[in-house]
Amino acid sequence: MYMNKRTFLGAFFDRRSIRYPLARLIIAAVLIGIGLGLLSNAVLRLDSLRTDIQRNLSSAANAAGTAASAAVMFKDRKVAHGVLRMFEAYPEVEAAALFTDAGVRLAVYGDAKQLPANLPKSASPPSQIALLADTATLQMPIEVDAAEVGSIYLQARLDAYWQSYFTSIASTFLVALIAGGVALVLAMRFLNRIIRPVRMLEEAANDARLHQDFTPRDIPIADNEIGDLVRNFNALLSEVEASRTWLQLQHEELERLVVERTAELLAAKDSADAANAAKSRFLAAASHDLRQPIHAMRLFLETLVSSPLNDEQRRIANYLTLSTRSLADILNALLDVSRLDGGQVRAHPEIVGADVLLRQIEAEFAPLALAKGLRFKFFFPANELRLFTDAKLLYSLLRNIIDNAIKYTDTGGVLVGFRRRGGQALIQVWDTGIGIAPNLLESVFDEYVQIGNPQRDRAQGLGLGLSIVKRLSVILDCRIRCHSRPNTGSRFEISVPLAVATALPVMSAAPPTGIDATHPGLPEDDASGLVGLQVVVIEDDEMAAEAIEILLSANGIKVTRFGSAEHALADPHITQADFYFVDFRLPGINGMQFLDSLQKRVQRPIKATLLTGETQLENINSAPSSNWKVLLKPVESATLMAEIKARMM
Amino acid sequence: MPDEQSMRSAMLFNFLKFSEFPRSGIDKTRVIQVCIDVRDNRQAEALAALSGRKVAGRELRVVDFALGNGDCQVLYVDSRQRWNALATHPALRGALTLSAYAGFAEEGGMIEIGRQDDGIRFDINLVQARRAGFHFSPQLLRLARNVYE
Repeated sequence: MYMNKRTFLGAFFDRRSIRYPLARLIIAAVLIGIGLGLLSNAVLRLDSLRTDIQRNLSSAANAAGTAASAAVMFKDRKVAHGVLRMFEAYPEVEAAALFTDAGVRLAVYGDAKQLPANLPKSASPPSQIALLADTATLQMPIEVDAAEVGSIYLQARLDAYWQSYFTSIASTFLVALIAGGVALVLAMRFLNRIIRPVRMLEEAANDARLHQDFTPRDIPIADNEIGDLVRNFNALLSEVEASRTWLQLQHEELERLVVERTAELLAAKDSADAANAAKSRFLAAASHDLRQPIHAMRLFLETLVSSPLNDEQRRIANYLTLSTRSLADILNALLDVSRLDGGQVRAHPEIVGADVLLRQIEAEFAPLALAKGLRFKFFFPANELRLFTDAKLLYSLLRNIIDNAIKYTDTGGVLVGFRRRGGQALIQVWDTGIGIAPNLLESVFDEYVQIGNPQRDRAQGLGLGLSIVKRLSVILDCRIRCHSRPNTGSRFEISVPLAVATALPVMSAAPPTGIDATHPGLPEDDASGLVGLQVVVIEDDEMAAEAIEILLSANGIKVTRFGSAEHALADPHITQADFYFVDFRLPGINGMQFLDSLQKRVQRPIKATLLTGETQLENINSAPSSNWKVLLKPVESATLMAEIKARMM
Repeated sequence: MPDEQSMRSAMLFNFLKFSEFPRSGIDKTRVIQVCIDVRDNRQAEALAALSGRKVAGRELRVVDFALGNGDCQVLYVDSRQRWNALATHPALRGALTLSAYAGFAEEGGMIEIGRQDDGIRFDINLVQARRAGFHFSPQLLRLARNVYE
């Protein structure tokens, strides 16, 4: 492309052009040719000029010598002088003289001062004519009948010769220069003709590259190497075009496949998401519906147990209590898995003292281990170990592991250790339980895998514990490993990041874990201060409402029940109650809206607690924002009593 | 300075160099016979000294006319008396004649050697020379004081 902008001559001086070296070659060849021609011409001409000068002078001398031979022989000065005057016809001869055979000067022509007065008899060889010499001299014998009778001496000026010599050289040089110039121009044009297809080829290649046009080009070609080049180039273009077409087709096919597969995948994902959402909705709905009867059942049972029963009845009631608790545990575990899978739980790391966790563990599990006759020990470093993690989620994780350890250990004990390893805290839970077969270690974290419990004995737990552990470890971003030998014991290890910023305040005490908020485990206390309290219960589930009423009534509390918020608001005395237990999900306006409208009717702050079986995040999350206290169903009677007591006393 | 006789002798030799002999008279022999008829012994000696020298490849042989075989290509006489006695001699038909006495050229001689000022001069009677078949080179004729034609 760039060639187009160059002038004809300019292209030969463009160093990038292929013409540059060729032009240099041609110019060098022409210059060398001219130079050598001129040099040889000058040398040859000089040589011939010398010969000419010699010959001219010799013939002039010869003629004069012959003409003067008799005069020299007879020593006739006058005639000799007359003979020498013939040199007037030779302007280059500036002086001449005739000498007798004895070497005596007989006659002189021209400037006598430049001539020798005597000459040696033997003739000197003709003097060499040096380049640019001013003069040349010549001495020739005069012979008559093969005998030397005298000699002639000539002196000639050479400037005329040199002048003609240099004029001739100059004109030759001029002619050579013109011829060289013409040759150069012709050579350049010829070069251009040779280069033209190459340049067109270059432009075509550039054009093909820039415009992606791979159609063969029409470049005039001769049957030579450049012609072959053009033919090969066009063949190459055709092949590229064919390859491109093929690639384009492949590309389109590939794109079509990608679009197709993407659509399929999206459809599959949508379907999976829909299924998952449906599952979550179903689980939420089912658990909500399940919570209500369990909630009621437990309240009934606790009321029953606290009533006077004979031994047989009490034994049965106790079994019933255990079974109900089991049922509630299953439900809670299922809800945990559901929530963890739903991405509703996020870790909020903070600095946590290991001692806080240990105190919690001891408080919860030491009694359980003691009841099973197991030793329950701790190991921790003397220095304070501070972790950077979500305390609630980590505790929940540890609970599940320790719970399992106690569950599957009948003799020996359980050891919980905290230690520092590298930049991490390593939490270890050892047990001397039944252990896990090596081939099952991989699947131990899957749902509903219970080692050594093929009969799926409900009393042995659900098998959901370790799957919750696995999900929590992912959320907490901590590594969890399991080492075990069948019939010897197991060791679970959890790596947790250590806190590096010591300046942050250490959490002094961990509240009950979020996902186990239904297990506050507050101790039973005296409820005598609550006697005579007016409590309104709004609950659409008849059984649940009945259970709460029985519990509260047993503690001397006066209960008024409503099946819906609308009914409650219709009661003119609704604002006069001391406390309200309100179900969140009610037919018509929900519990929260009821409490909000109730609060608008009175000046004092309404004391109330929302009860809910909701597991859907958006519903639960909206509740605390309204500043109403929430308890998740099923709520134990102790919790219910503790709640009202805390708020009223 | 050579004496006059030697100079005349040298001149004779020089004349021969510039002279072309008639073909008939000289072709038969490789020798040029110079016949002299002089009374001056010194002159005769000077001339005799020319014997053996060569002109145009031919050897000179100087002989006394009276003693010679009569076949002369060149004749040198030293006086009018002897020239008058020999002028019509048949042996001298076709010979180049020279003398140094004044009036020789006018009296039928071919080359007259004379003196003028400080040098030697000569006259040529071209009529006589041509009649005898002699030719002289122009260089020689140019030197002549008088050329009779």
